[in-house]
Amino acid sequence: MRKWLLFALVVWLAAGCRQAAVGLQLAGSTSVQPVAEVLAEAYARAGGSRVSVQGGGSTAGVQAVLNGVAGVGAVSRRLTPGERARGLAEHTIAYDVLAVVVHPDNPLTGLSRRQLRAVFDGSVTDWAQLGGRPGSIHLVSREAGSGSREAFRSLVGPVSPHAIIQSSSGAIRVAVMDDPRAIGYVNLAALQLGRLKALRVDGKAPGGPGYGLVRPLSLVTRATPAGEAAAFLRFALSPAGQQVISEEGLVPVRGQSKQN
Amino acid sequence: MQGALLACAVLSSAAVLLIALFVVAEGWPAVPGLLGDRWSPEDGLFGVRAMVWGSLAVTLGALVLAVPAGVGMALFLTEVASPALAGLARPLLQTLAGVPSVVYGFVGLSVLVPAIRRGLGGPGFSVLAGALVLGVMILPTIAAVAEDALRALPPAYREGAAALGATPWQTVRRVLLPAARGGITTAVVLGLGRAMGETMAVLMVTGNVAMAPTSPLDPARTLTGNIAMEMGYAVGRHREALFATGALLLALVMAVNALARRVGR
Repeated sequence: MRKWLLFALVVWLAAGCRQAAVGLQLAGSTSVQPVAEVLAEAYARAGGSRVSVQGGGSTAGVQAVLNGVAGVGAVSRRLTPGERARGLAEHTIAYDVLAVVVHPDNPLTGLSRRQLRAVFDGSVTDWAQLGGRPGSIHLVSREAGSGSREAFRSLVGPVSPHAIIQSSSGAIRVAVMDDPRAIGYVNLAALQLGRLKALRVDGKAPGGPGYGLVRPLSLVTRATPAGEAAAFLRFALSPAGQQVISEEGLVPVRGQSKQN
Repeated sequence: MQGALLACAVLSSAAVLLIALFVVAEGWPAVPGLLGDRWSPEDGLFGVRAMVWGSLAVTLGALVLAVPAGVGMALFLTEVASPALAGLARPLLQTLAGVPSVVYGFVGLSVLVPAIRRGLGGPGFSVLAGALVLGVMILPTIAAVAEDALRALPPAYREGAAALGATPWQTVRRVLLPAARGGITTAVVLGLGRAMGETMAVLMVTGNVAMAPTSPLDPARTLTGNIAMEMGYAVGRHREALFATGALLLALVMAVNALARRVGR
């Protein structure tokens, strides 16, 4: 009896090992990582193989694809001409749009990107310096490691260590909509929930043409993707994949015609 | 039967030891950098000094609020209230202890933070907000343990004091509180431990700025909040530093518990 139990245990463990085998490795940008993980889950539910998602940064992701460690890389920037020349292709799956938000009572309607940088690095500390109502500026930012924060840092500049930290776009929304002196940044999904005023940046409204605080999020493959990599890419760009992307607060690259 | 009970005991002590071992092993490489005063993962700086101050400030603030209120509540239940009234008040207190911490945090975020911002200035997210929320959370613990300590006193103490003509206030101050000192100190230390380990409610109301607070109206980050907030995507040294934060927290909580055992005796 005992022997049989032991045997069953070994078989079960071995089966577990086989199940854990990974079909596809995805590595790269930590900004893409959260959405890539959700995509990987949805892909597995839709019958795809298991996708293991790792961070490491855009450049590490490109490197991983080049030396064959990962089938798919994730980047939150454009590929450089050098990288493209080495036989890689990028496929943009989503846009990450950051909206700079203030309390609806704030009289300001917009800032230049340079002003925005000065506000968030802590060198401008009073709304009067920006032509607003006098009062200290309350910065609200995301936590270190978050994709939005990383995007903000690369598109605008460093964030002062004095900034209030909230760990989701939703929490930033709550902090800003309650405080007439606050300024923060959120993704479009949080902005669309309302009770916030989005500032124009360099005269452009968020989500509109020419708006600056946008990053393409892309998957990187060999020039002609094949096998598992091609299948995952197809899923990411399919209606189901794009639905997952918009649920994560990103702007999908397909299916916007429905909204127009 | 004995074997089964022994297995239970081994299992629970092994769990504590394994967790401690795991946390320390994972965080070990980041321990030297822990002493720094700046936490900035983007610049590779992982000093948690500001968070130690943050945790201490919020915890001590909570004790300042909850100890007088909790001991007062215990005295009310044992010395003042009629049995019927005490029977009504005690379940309310127990209910307070059962409210999930995220509810406290949410109420704090929606009520306290805007009230502090409007009434006292600053961003509202502050040590004060954290201390108020935590103070209410640990009040039931302190009140319940202090009440037990007071109830355990022999009736002869009260009778003797009354026979000597002591007023109720004199009895409480000169006889009951000194006699129950050990139990009340245990109550305070248990509240302290709970306050230091609490995460969610504090995270929601303190603003999480990784700088040592200089006023009750300043925002602050606690050790627990630091882990909860950044564990999502931390890799490499950043992840090790969060484990090291956890090890530090574990050491602090263990020290507090050891203290509680010593003063409880």
